[in-house]
Amino acid sequence: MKIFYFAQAADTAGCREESWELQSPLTASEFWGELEKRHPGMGALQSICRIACNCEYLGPEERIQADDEVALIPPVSGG
Amino acid sequence: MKLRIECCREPLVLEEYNAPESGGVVRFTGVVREEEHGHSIAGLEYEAYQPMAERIMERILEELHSVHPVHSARVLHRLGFVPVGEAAIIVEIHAAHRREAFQVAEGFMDRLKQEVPIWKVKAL
Repeated sequence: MKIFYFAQAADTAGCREESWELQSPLTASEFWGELEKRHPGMGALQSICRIACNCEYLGPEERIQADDEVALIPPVSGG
Repeated sequence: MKLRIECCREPLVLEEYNAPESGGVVRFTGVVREEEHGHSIAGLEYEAYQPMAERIMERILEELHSVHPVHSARVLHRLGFVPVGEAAIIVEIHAAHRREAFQVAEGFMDRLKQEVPIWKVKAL
């Protein structure tokens, strides 16, 4: 799974992208737990960031698969 | 509906486009102001998750078009450093009548600011 970080999520993670080897699909909640383990402090962004999976916002029942492209989407501010 | 959606790093230029079937043309230009949160700035730095941003912008325009039919929509969004006084975004809508053109332009900008993964990352 490839993960992209943007804006304050990139600042907190200290990188703009990385790859994880997934043994099994992750729920959003499991993803946030894993993120906090790998990048302490990232869990604090859970209340403001959405998760995108393959360029679509992740639905509440959907899981992240091993070959997905995931992005953390902080509050947007385009225009 | 004809669509053109682009994110680019150069100054935005949207060439004139004449559509004889369109009686209403609305062009919105979002320009970087000289002040951000009370401080004078030289410009704003933008970044995007570009493939998703372009996909979501297209979907928003298709959804708005299904309610307020228009002939064409053109959107250019600049990324990277945008100096004060230059355009960060241009949205141009052509429709048979002004009402649809205004509704789509305004509806698009409202949703862009909620849904499209583009960020002002810093003021310089």
